[in-house]
Amino acid sequence: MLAFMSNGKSGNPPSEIPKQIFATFLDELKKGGASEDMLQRLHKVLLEDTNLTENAIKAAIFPDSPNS
Amino acid sequence: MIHVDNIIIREFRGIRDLTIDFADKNFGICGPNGTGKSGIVDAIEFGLTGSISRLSGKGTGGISVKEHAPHVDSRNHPDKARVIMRVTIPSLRKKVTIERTVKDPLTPIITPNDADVLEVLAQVAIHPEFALSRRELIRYVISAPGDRAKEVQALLRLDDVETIRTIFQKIANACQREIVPTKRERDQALEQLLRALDIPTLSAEKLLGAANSRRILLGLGPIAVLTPTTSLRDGLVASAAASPSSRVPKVQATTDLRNLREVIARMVSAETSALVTAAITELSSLNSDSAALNSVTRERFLQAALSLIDADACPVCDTQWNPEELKGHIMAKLKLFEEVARKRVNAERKLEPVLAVLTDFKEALAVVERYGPILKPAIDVKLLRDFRLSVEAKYKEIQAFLPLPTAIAALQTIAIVPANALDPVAAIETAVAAIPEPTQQDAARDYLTVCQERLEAYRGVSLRLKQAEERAKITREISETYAKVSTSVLEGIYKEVEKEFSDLYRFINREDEGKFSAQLTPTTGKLGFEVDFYGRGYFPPGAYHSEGHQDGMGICLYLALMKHQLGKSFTFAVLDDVLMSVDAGHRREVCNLLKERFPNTQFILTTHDPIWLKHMRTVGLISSKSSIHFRKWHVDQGPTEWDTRDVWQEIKDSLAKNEVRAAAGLLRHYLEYISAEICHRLRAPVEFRGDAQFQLGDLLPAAIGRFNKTLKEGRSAAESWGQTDAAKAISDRETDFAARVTKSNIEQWQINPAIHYNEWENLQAADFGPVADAFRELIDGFICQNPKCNGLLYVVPERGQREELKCACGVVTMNLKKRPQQVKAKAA
Repeated sequence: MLAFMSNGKSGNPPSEIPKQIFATFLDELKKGGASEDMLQRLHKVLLEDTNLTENAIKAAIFPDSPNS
Repeated sequence: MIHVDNIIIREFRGIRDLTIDFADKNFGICGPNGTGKSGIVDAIEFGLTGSISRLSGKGTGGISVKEHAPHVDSRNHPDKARVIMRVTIPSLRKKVTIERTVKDPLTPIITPNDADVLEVLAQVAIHPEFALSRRELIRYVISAPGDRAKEVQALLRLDDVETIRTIFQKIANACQREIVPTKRERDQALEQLLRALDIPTLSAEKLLGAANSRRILLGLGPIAVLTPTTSLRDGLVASAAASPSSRVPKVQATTDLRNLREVIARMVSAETSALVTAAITELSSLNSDSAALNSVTRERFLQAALSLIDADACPVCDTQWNPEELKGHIMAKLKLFEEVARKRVNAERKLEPVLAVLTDFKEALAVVERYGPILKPAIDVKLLRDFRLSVEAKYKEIQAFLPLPTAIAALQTIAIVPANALDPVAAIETAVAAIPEPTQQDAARDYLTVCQERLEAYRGVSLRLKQAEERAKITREISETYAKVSTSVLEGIYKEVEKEFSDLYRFINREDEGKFSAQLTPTTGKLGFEVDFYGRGYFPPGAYHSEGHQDGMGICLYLALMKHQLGKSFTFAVLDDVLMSVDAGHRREVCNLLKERFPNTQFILTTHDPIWLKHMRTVGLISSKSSIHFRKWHVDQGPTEWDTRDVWQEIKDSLAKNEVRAAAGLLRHYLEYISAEICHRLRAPVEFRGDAQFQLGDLLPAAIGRFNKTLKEGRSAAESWGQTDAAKAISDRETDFAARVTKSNIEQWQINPAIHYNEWENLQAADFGPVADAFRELIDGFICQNPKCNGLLYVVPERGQREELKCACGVVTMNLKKRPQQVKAKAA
């Protein structure tokens, strides 16, 4: 017996269009001179872990911030 | 994705026990309102997703799947409410069974539960939009741009795009908001530094000039360059450089006391009084409107709740929620408070200058208060401290905004200085004045020490401000870049959808809107939708197009979006009575559209209109066997369809209970239904009625006449081909059918020779029995006698020259076309 019902977004792989947008967005940030470290962290959050919460994204942008 | 082979529904919604064999094909479900059609749609959705949109979406307060999905008689037995579906996954070439109960909707039994199967079913589960009702359909068309964007983005699984946009925006806003208080703090630090330095404005030159003049007095070398780490005390021996916190530096204390007096004067000035009055007026206005006040409280609460959503639960009550659904839920509520939010923001703006003056006041009090204990003798500053604490408390009450009466009361008293509150200030002033004038060297030492302390404080807060500005800049760039990229990609997507939508809509309206086009215009968080109106320009769909056309637009937009989203995986959709406002001609075109443009998609279509069901068949969207026609629904039995065997048994049962009225009514309704079916299948000519309200007297004689003619044509054709045996068999059938007609006519004549069938219910059971039997035999005459078939005979093709009379099983295949030569000879 297995559950496949899951409407939650967090943790689910995003569909193709969001993935495409996230990847293009990271490319554009890179072109704009964003730091490599921040880009890697954002890539992990948006495209690998797909942990699309405010705290996770804040931590990716400012890893040393006490609020992240 | 999937195709659905069959479904078994038990004790679910209005259904007791129902099995439908969709046979992996398009399927029509027809029946009057309230006969159980939507129950089947609910069952399909539940079977595939574990949820039912119309029991769990917006506006369903008090209704839930758990409590209300079971049949009303099984509401305390959710384990009995179950749906079993057999589906095919074409991409895997696998057949899968899904069994789900309302008791445990999230843990279905899936057989086989292979990983690839589960993956496909998980995809289906996150696409509940495969089931579309008219209510949902019209939302895409006539909703506000912001709402439409949400609906369309949900359908295209773009929720994540919007989620991230909102998060980036929120982070950027939060970073921007950090700047103002930090700037205020920096300004205060600067003011204190300037006061200590005793210079009007800050520059490296002026600062070094002031500091070096004291350093020279102390025999220290001047500082040439001011760097971020420069210490003004550099070179002072440790003991001499000791903080003057253990004693009061007269010069500095005098300056600080003077500053306090100035701030107090500002606090009670007419200018500040005007600011306070304006703020009180704004807050009082809100406070006097109880509805607005209540709304402000709710709006503030919702704003706070929104900012706290991080996990999959409500931050207030910990109820499990999908975070996006919860945000959407709260945002929808917040929309109701837009006006009150505007008033609140205005009021908060009025408070800002008042809070700035108060900040200076409490800081100046705190600075002077520190001198009391270190004076010799020490001065008791309790009264001053109490006053400062009361000022700080008022500051917090005003900043908190709510409750409004508290904030108003605080504003009303901020300029009031208690009579003895400033007594310690006066005592400190006296004590400071009594301190002997320091030597030039002592004064210089104190000067450098205090200035260095304040310079460090200024440097610290300046650094924090710089970091805050840097953070704001980074997050603003991130937010703007994301908005630019996502808008650009979405524009591309919407262009494709717009093209596909226009193409589909032109297909179903090619006769009158062959040049139709549409414009989908995405802007941040919104999706505009305008359509061409006969070349006169682009307008919102609801502006000039009829409701029927809007329904057509809805289904075309839905199909275009699904096609874009799922591509070849768009293999299944349930359209629940979605074209109720569309006229017959356009419905036929919708059937053609579904059949021609979506040949690999299995559509389950429900309708209350039997004519619409016939269109589906006529166009070939569904086959003759791929439909179910409900006749009524009863709370004990659920939906029941027109089934010949059931009808005759039901009539028999009614007569056994001497319920002639019920038996007569049932026979009448069944004969109307079956006569219409026979006329349709035999292509019988019936006097046209614009309202399509055909009565039994219109239909049954036409059916009988057409069948007689068809048998005669079949016999003539067989004879023309020299098929003696076939001709004989048809002749026998003609004789047999004539006998059935005669018997039914005789019975009718005995009852009421004049007209109609309305007098049946006046008969006794014994008299009505033979009537029912006669009609049963008559109807049997139109049916294939193969027990495995028992289907109504029908003529093919559906249009043009009639060629054959046949049945579904193939036992009856009667050629209706004569041999050509004989036709010619006869013509000659």
